[in-house]
Amino acid sequence: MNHTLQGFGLGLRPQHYAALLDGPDDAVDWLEIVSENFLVDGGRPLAMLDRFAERWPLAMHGVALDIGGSDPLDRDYLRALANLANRAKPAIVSDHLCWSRHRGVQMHDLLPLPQTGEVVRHVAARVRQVQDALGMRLALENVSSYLRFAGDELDEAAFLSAIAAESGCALLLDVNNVYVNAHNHGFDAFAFIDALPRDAVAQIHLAGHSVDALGSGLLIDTHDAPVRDGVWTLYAHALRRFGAVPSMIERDDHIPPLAETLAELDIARGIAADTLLERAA
Amino acid sequence: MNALAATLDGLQDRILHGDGAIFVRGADAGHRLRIYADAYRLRLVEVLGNDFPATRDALGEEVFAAFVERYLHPHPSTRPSVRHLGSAFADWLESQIDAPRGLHELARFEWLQAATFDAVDASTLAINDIAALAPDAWPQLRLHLHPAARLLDSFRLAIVEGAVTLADVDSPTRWLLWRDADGDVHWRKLEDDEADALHAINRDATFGELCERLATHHGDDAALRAASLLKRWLADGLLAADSIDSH
Repeated sequence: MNHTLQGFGLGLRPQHYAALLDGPDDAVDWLEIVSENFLVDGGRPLAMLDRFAERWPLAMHGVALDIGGSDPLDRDYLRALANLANRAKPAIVSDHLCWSRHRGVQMHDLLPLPQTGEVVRHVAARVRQVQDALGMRLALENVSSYLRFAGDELDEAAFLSAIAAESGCALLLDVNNVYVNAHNHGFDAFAFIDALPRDAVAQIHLAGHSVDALGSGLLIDTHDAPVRDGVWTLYAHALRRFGAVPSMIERDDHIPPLAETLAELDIARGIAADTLLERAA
Repeated sequence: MNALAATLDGLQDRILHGDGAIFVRGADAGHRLRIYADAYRLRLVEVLGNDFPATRDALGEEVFAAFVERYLHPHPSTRPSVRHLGSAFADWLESQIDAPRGLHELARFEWLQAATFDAVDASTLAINDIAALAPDAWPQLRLHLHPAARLLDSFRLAIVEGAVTLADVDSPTRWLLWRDADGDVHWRKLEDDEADALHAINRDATFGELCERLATHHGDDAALRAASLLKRWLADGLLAADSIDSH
């Protein structure tokens, strides 16, 4: 198995296991697993992981690293993650630029960090510890958020860029999250993309969002709907800046049949083909 | 990182308890914080609803959600995966005076299903493995249950339309849960003698002691019953291959 990511992938979900395994290899170029779903002792999850790892390159995407929190890094979790990586042989290991655990309590959410120079240095030091534990480069994803802190010193693009520069980590760009945050916090999504370092973006996520049902006008990152037109437009802009970055559809809820998800992935393929041709010309 | 810790203290308190200092920018800070607090509660109620679907159905969505919120106060999540969030739920339900009688047994049954699903892998004992045993080795043989096999004794569970549910009256029942070679989880009711035998195996009894146990149920036919049970356990993959390796 070629352990690099190229082309177009999907977030692997149990609802698609059978259809993927019964289908052709070239339905997708690679698959991304949610790491925590496979941090189990045995049984079907790990058996399925082995079957997928035999046929497709994998990316490992975590939700519980707590890279920005003030609790110490969880050494047991890092060991489990390293063991899983040894089994799955992922091309990329990623998590989110956020905090998710505090005072020993897991929040099971991707919570925003104060965007300060002090937090940049704190996160960068922890990224280096994680990369040492895993023996590979970590990619950090920009998270969607609904609040900003009064003491913020940096805008989000500068915060991400500074952490990438100081730690050497890669970036996983979730284009939907940029779109949601631009709306919720009132910044220019295109300028955000333009402010990120050209060579740090190793992977792209595409997803859908919803409007706050409580009528606030905020966008909620639900990852449970088709990719919106505005996100596709922003995706094309990202490809113009970053080139042919491996891209995937990430659907976390209301999972449609595989054929529908693959059709959405074809939209990404089409946009990439047009944009990269235009970029080369 | 004292400044960061203080900021996260405040935000975490707002999400978990609706109080705490806030350092959030903007006039609609209260609503923005509520999005996180609502998401926290809804997400974890959904997680436990998926882990305990029959328990949720027995209570109804709203009452179940209220129980989960009460459970989370003394039992916040401390493991990276939400897979472990419900580990104390059945025991906690047992201590709640307003929980329907026996509901904790239904929750315990559902938790054992999850535990069986992703328990550690191990080779299963095959007929060929034990066929070669010398006759005089049998009495001292200590069989081991496969790590995915689980036993449960209950008083208020019943089977209705093929599903385990809460019984209206006391109905003492003994259960076995196990995982087949394809990873599917199964369960069945046990006769008392089989339940006694499986519990004896779990207590590291020898095959000789197991037969003595069966003799209290079957007298002189104990050996026949032992052979019959052994055949079924082997077919179902209930026994671990290290039952033989350890001798």
